[in-house]
Amino acid sequence: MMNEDLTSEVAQARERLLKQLEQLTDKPAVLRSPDLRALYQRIATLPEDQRGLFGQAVNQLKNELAGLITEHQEAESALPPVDVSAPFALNSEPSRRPGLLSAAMGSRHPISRELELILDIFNGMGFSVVESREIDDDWHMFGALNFPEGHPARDDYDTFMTEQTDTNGKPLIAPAHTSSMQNRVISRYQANLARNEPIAVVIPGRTFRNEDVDARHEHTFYQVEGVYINKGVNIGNLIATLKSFLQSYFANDSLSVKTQPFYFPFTEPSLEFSLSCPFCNQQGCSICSFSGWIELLGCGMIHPNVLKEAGVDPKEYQGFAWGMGVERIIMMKYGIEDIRHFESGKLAFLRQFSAGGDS
Amino acid sequence: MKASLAIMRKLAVNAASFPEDVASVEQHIGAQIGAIEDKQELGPLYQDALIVKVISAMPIEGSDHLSLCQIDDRQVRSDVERGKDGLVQVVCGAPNVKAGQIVVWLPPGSIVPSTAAGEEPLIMAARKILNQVSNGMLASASELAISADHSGIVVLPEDTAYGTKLSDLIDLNDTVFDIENKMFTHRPDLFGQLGIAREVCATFGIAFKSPDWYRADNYLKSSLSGSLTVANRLKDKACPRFMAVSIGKLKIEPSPLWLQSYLSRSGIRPLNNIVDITNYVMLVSSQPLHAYDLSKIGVNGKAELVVRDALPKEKLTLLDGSEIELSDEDIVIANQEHALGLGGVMGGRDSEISDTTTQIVLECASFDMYRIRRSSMAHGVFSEAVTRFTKGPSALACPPVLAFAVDLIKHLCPEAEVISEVADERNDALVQELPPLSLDLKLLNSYLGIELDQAEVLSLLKNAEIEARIEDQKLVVRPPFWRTDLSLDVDVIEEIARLHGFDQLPQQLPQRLLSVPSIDAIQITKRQLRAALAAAGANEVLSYSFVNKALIEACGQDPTEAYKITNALSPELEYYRLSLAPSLLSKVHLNHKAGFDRFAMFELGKAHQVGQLDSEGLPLEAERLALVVSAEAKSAKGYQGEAFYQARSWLNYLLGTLNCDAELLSLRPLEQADLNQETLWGAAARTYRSGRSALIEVNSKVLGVIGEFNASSTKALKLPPFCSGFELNLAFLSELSVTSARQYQELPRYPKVIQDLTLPGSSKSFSELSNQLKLELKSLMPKDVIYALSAIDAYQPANDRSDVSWTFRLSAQSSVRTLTDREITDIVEKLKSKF
Repeated sequence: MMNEDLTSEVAQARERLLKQLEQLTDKPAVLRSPDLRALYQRIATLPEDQRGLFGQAVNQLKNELAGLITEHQEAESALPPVDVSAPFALNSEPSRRPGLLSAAMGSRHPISRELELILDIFNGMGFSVVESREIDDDWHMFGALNFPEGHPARDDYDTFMTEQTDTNGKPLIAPAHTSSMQNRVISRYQANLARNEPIAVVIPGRTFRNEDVDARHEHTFYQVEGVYINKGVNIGNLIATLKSFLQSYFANDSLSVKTQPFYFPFTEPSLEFSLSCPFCNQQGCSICSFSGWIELLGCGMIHPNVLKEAGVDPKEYQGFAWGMGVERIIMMKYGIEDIRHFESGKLAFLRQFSAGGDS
Repeated sequence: MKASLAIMRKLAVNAASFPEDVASVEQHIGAQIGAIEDKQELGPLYQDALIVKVISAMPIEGSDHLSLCQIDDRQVRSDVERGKDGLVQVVCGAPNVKAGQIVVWLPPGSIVPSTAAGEEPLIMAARKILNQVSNGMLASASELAISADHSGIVVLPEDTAYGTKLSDLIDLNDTVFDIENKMFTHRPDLFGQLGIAREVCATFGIAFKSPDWYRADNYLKSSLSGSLTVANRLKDKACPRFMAVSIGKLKIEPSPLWLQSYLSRSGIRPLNNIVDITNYVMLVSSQPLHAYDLSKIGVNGKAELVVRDALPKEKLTLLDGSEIELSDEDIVIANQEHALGLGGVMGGRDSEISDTTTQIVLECASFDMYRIRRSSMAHGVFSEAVTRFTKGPSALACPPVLAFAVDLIKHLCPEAEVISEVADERNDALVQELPPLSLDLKLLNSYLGIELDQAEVLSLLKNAEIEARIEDQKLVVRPPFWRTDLSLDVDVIEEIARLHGFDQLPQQLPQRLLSVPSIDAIQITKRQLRAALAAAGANEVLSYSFVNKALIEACGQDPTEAYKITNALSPELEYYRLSLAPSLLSKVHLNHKAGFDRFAMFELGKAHQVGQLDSEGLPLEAERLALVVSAEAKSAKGYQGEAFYQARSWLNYLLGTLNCDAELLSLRPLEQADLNQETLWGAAARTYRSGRSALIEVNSKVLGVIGEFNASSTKALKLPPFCSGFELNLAFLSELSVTSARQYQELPRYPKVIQDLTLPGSSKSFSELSNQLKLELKSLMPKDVIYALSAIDAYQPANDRSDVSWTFRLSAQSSVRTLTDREITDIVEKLKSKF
């Protein structure tokens, strides 16, 4: 219990502060009042058993004042209520009621637009579409993908983690790749295999990396994952599928592709996939840095441990998977110079993708 | 990972040959080993650097440090001014220049290698210094980009032949490739030049054979005993092997130029002969080594080393000067008194090799990659050793690597001798070759999509020094000791496919049934909405899933309900958003400021809230559509009515585009809803303004919220007065588009009668009035009449909410007869009388 003297000290200060609040035109100034400051300074001078209680009382008072200030501000700016069930405002002429805008200025986001195009091609090839998550657990991000606990390969993924944890007590994760959906889609479409149909799914979604942002790097970006599983799937199937997609996307049947070995724990073999530059037909241009090739995506044959985790027998079935960044292709296609424009919300950028142009 | 062609060529002594064409080596590395990030051609940098002899060096009058030198290049350089004696005059500012030295000369016209990478490379010329012509310069190691030493010119051993090119002496006709590390995560052997040399040969179909010393049974021998012990006291099995040996009679001095140059071109700074040898052997073999000054860790040439867990709060100063506080997660190498180094990560400063060192203990050990990683991350200490130990190199490589290092020491310090036994503390169970693998040839061919000839399979593997044979249609492979990655059959398949060439495999599309691929309904809805909203002039926005605390609070929400990122890039991105509106609202002011006077922005995205879980037990991902319409003051002048109704008109439109009737909607003032009960909508709703916002319901289920925005967000985000929006549950919208789609009505053949009716002034809300009206109408209207009722006007005398009169338009037609105006007028009159 706080002793009576102190209780009344706080009560008296409260009276003074409330009076000040009433008189002040700049209401938030009350929080800077010498009376309030004096109360805080008083805490250190008190005997130890009283300090905590007194401190609490002072904080409570401060919160009360803050609440009153907000209330006042809301009241100041209060507007008369409206009849929310009405379809339009009272006393309004039909011609002056605000409505829709000019179709010419509307736009879909270039990423959405391009994703629709990409997914349409894959859908036409027989791939189902499932969207990825924006928050996931450690197991889907790493465990299900053959990254053992604490494995150094995890260092290649600068993942954001949350204070809140999953059921195993591990931080939740902002997925650094759409591959965190692989286990889910393989499980979800497993019945296909029994029907002698492949599992064929593409997974668009947002992914996140803890890396510094500049004109070419974003912490938030989009990927399209692909998973294909069946009996007797081979490496050439993977290359042919991606090549066929890219030829369709760039509407150019003469594009060629090449691969380089890579390492992902969840594919074996793992490949990095490059496309002959569709912008210069390998004559050399600034987009391909005059190399004639553009590195596009990572891919590989799904690791047997990943299949096993999802309940598919790797002796019987094989598959391939890929993960492709979306922004870079769009930037190349439209000549967008800075990746940060995508999530800037700037209409000057967005309306360049409208029918009427930037207006 | 830097790979030097010159060093690799040296390591390929036992290979059948080594490819000479740089361009095709580059192509092979890129296609079959790993992506090349960068390439440096050293040849052109050093093409003019000549080894010469200083014949005389005389101080120049009027200078305290310059010498006038006459040098002999055996007259190999033709385009230079010479004296009668055939010598070339060079002014040299180095304090160490003396007659008789063999030095490096950069003649006029040559480039100074250390400046080559800069913006303005320095080209030598004949120029006058203190009235004396200097034909180029004599170079320091720093100017030659070989080490940091700029204290004086490079002086080569007296017996070095001169009149020849420096590049021939120290192997500088070299190309250094920088290969991306990431793809070697599972290949510890490729962090050594030896490993890459082996791969390069294998990709050319050349049978590689390691140098003689690289054999698991190459074991350093010593007959001494009693002067070096190693004890392993770790709580776990994190140090499978720890080898060490003491070496005496050393003289610490700079390494020969070739060794310095090999290191510097590989990105490692030369220090002194012993440290350089440990680094060079690591560069070659991928196995890190460490040298301790024996006098600083032992007594009388004897040392007792302990590998142990660090003590809590134990302190250690590392080689780089940083002092760290250890925990029992760290491995330390210690003597009886204290920690000497952070095992596998970095040595300690106290036992560092110095100019006065004469005896060392050389360590060659193997550590658990997980524990090394934790230790390195915990202290933020990264080193060449960490890069390699975190890939898990084989403990079987320790003996040959140690033997090779000792040989090299003896080569550079001929006096040196082993002065202890060879300590080899190991856990035999962990120092093992991987078991042989058996691979079904059918599976191999299935992966490849072709039938590879068995002999070809065997030779592909053999070129990479992998022993294999065919047994009963199975390929039996014995992984060599350095290949810790070959543990599954697919690992061998990868090896064969890669060495064969992925791009050489037949490329055929998978065959499939003509079954229809599925697409989630919600995605179809999203496409419809996106197209419809854009067609109505709205702009789709994508904004970060992460927001800051101030924004959450300004929007009336509670940050403790939001998932918080512990390693956020900045406080701006610390929380997952609780709803989409705050993100959109934060973009309003910047766009008005940029000159866009009116606009509608929308986003399709996800909201997350702590405590709301889905069927997987993971955070529920609430799919939302949010829209904000805004007009700055001037353009809002053209509008009549409150901003609320603009959002409302967009909402009606949106439902229409999904083929749903706006009549489905029921809007209830937000202040009448208990937001604490609305767990899914509470957070989103708090951004809206009391009195001018509503919960949108369809069949008593919440579809979303709509309205103007609250005072604090309006103020904090500088929203104009005319700004409103809504946020909807996408899944529910998608469901409605299926379950509540409008039905077609047959076109009546009889004419339509239209009449307006104005109800007397009332204080009732619009929904009460119109519901009542509809009910009455239903009882009055004959069964054969199809009719529609819509509000067209609302009049309120000055500021009297209790006296609002609504005008409706009734249109009616019968499917069986011609309606008369009279009939409808009667009904309208009856209706009016009910109010």
